Amino acid sequence: MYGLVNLAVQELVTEKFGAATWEQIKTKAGLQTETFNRMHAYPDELTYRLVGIVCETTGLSAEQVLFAFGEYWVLYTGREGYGHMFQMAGSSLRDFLHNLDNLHSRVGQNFTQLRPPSFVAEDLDSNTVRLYYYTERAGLGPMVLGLLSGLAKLFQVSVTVTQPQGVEQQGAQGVFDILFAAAEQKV
Amino acid sequence: MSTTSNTTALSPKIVSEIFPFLLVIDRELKLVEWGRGLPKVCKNLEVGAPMSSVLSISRPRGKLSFAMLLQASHNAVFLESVSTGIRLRGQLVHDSGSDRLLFLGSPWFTEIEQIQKTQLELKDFTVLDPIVDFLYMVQAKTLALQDAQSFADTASKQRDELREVNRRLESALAAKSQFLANTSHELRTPLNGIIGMATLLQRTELGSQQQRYAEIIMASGRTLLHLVNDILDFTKIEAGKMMLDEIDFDLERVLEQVGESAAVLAHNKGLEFLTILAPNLPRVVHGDPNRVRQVIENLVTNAIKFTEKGEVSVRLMCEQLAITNEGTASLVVRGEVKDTGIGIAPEDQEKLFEVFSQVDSSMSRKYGGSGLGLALCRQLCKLMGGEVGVISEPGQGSTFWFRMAFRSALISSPVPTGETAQALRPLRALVVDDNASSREYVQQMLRSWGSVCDGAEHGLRALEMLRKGLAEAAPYDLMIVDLLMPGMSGADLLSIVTMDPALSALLVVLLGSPGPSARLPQSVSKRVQAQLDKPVRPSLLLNCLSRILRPFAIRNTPAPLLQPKERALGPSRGKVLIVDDNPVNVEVAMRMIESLGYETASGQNGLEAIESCRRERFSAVLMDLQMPVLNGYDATQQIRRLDSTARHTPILAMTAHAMPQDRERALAAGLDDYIAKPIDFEELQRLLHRWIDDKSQPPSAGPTATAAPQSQPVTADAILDPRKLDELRRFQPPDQPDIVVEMIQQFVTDAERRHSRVIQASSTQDSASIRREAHALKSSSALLGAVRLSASCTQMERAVESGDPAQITSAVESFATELRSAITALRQIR
Repeated sequence: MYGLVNLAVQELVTEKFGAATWEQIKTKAGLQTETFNRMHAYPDELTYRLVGIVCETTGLSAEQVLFAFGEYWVLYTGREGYGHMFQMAGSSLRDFLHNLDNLHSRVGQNFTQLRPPSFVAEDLDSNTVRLYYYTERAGLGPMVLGLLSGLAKLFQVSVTVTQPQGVEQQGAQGVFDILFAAAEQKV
Repeated sequence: MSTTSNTTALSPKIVSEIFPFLLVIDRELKLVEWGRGLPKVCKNLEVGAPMSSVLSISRPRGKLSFAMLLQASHNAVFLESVSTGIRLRGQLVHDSGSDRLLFLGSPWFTEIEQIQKTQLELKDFTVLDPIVDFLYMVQAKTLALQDAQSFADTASKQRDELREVNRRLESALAAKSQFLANTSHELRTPLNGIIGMATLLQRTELGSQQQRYAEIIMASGRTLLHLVNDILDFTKIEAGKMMLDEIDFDLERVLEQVGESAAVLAHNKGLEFLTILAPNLPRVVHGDPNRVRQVIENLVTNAIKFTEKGEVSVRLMCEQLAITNEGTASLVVRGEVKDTGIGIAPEDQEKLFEVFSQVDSSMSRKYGGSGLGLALCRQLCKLMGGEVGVISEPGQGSTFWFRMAFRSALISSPVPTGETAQALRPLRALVVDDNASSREYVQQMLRSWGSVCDGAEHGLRALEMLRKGLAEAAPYDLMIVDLLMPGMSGADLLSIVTMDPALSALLVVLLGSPGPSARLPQSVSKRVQAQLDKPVRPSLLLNCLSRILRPFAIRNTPAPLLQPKERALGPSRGKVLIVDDNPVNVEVAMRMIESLGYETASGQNGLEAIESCRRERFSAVLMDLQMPVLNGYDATQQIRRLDSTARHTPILAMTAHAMPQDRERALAAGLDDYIAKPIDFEELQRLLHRWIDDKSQPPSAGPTATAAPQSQPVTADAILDPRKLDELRRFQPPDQPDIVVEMIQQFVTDAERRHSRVIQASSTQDSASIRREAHALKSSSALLGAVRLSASCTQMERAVESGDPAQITSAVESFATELRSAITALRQIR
């Protein structure tokens, strides 16, 4: 994964648990570098190892860490120079979800080592969008939940996200129903 | 948008889907229609409105007309929205059917932030449109650049921080070095007092228990002094301030110096001690002899310490030699210090060279040692371009090896010349020694000089061989025999040889050990042509043989035996000039030197020293370095001009400064050697022996000491320590005025004169003079036991160093008070 992901893990841990905890995690992970280069591709194993050690050190479960990371990721990338891309992707959460795959496609086309996920958004009704999540990486479902939660905060809308049981997965690794509680507001 | 039968017509809807920013104009350049995206870029779009009211054309340039645009239909066209300023890039296509021009293009941005100012979204751009990808790429590259800049900033900040830390460290190191320099000086002074007094104590009549106590004080003092020196060396190496000498020196001489003390130590433990120089080793090399000696001495002392029986040997050999075009050589010397001691387990071997590390703490308790010695050896070897290591097995002894790199003037081991070479070549020699290493070494030496040489491991075998030689008409010409052998000793063998007239032509060299040895019967003693101490040095053996073999043609004429290290007692002494502006120091040095049997003369400054040397030739000059009128450095240079090739007066510096730079400066100024003040009696004895007696004989047993009166222990606030005066009285020659009273008179006169100078210097804020006087009085007052006065002098020196005028004034006042008290107390001594 690109350094941006690891950097977000670092920032999340530092912000929520303090710099000393991050130093501890770094030592345990055997990291020699002071920080990560956002545009450098690091092995996926490193990110998984970091998440594992974060769990070990903070006492949180992997699901909790991934959820927190997903939520943080939206705010973090928005702050770290990708805000304009986000804004281009839609002025409402619904628009954004429909453009999510387009956004990932364009990013993936430019950054060949990124191997980004793919999303298909489908309006179930005026209040619900169903999102199909396709990825070659395993176990990142909780992160998507965190991402959706983060996006809702970004667009200042209240949503309920569920993972419907018994629906046709259409080859997706995860299916998420986003139920809008109120009218979307422009950012 | 015309169609033919073979093509698919693109409907306006499809064209609009592909080109959301499409614009169609007619021949009057009026708006006809536009795509769904264009209203987000241009406001006030109206059919029939002139194009120029909503979009200006920045390219192509020229007078705007339908014909001009038609002509430019293959060129890039840039439009700019009059209402939003957004630029569009595209090209014009002529629809011949409707005779209209179609602008096919899309907005163009160079930075993603520019889109933020518009209402455009991702979905407004077609998938075919590369502008979004271009902007994403630009954004990513911008972030990467920001990262690079951020890393560079962090690195720069860290570099600045490191520079600052480095500056602070350097400053701290400098302070530490200064502190250590001062501390070492302060530590050495009392230590020399302890060692000096213990030396004198040992020379008085003591009971066995008292003798033991004095020995312990002496040994402890020396260990402590050694440790202080080691710590100082180690700290200097650590701070990168260890400067190595770069001089030509004789490796054999260094080995000999090590042997002088080590052989005695080994002998006292009943160990054989050998030094072996490989014949291929250049003798004179370029480097630091003192540091080389320090490494070898350390290894040898350890080896002796951990060996209970058997032998300790030091072997130096040339491992690598490269000759330069200028005729000099660069060489790597390998040294091996081998013992038959307790050995070391493999897992403990690496620990040995770590600082303050010993194999286990019980070793430290049993054998002593600071744990710094081997670590220091490693550092010193490294400084000399080499390394150090060990090969050992428990119970099998150890071999500590080292390598050092030198340059050499290519002077190799001694080679016999002239008559000696001729005499040695046909010589048949027999070496008799129970120690195989020692025997083979001497044999090897003789063979390298062209002699035929055999060995015998004991006296009986030697007799057999001698007689066999006679029977076969090939008698031995020379026998080199070890005095101490089990069974038939060297003396026993010689007794038999002496009685055998057939062996009367045999030349005999006896090898003994330093220190007291068995007395030979006179008849046997006469049979010996020369005696050498073990370990045997090639140059001494060659000198000795050269002397013996000179009258080889007229055998049976015993040769005079007067070479360095060859034993011969004679009454020769020398005369030593002592130069010091402090009369008390002169007096003490004089008493010590005279007690060793030398004559003395004295001078108060460099000028007097030069005059004395002009009038008289001295065996040695003991020169203080800091003196009024003319200092010791300048005086030495002048005296050197009086020397000739045949005459070199040994000038020995004495100074209270114990730092190597003082020593280096002294040696650079032409002084030959160096002794620290206050003078250590044994060191003085060694120094004079080296520079005077080495040419004739060892010093006698020393002064005739008288029992010192028992003084009460001194209290901390006492003005005088009477025990110091008691110690000085030990040097009292019989039938002479009381030397202590004389010294006190001299001291009082000198101290009052210096006091006046201090007062004057204080009024003119002449710190250098105050410091000089304080320094001079510090040692002389300590010698007479005026402890508080000496302390006040130290305080005055420190006050001057601090540069604080208030501290200086206070210290000078305190000094004046202490001086009055000390003089009053001293005058009561009769």
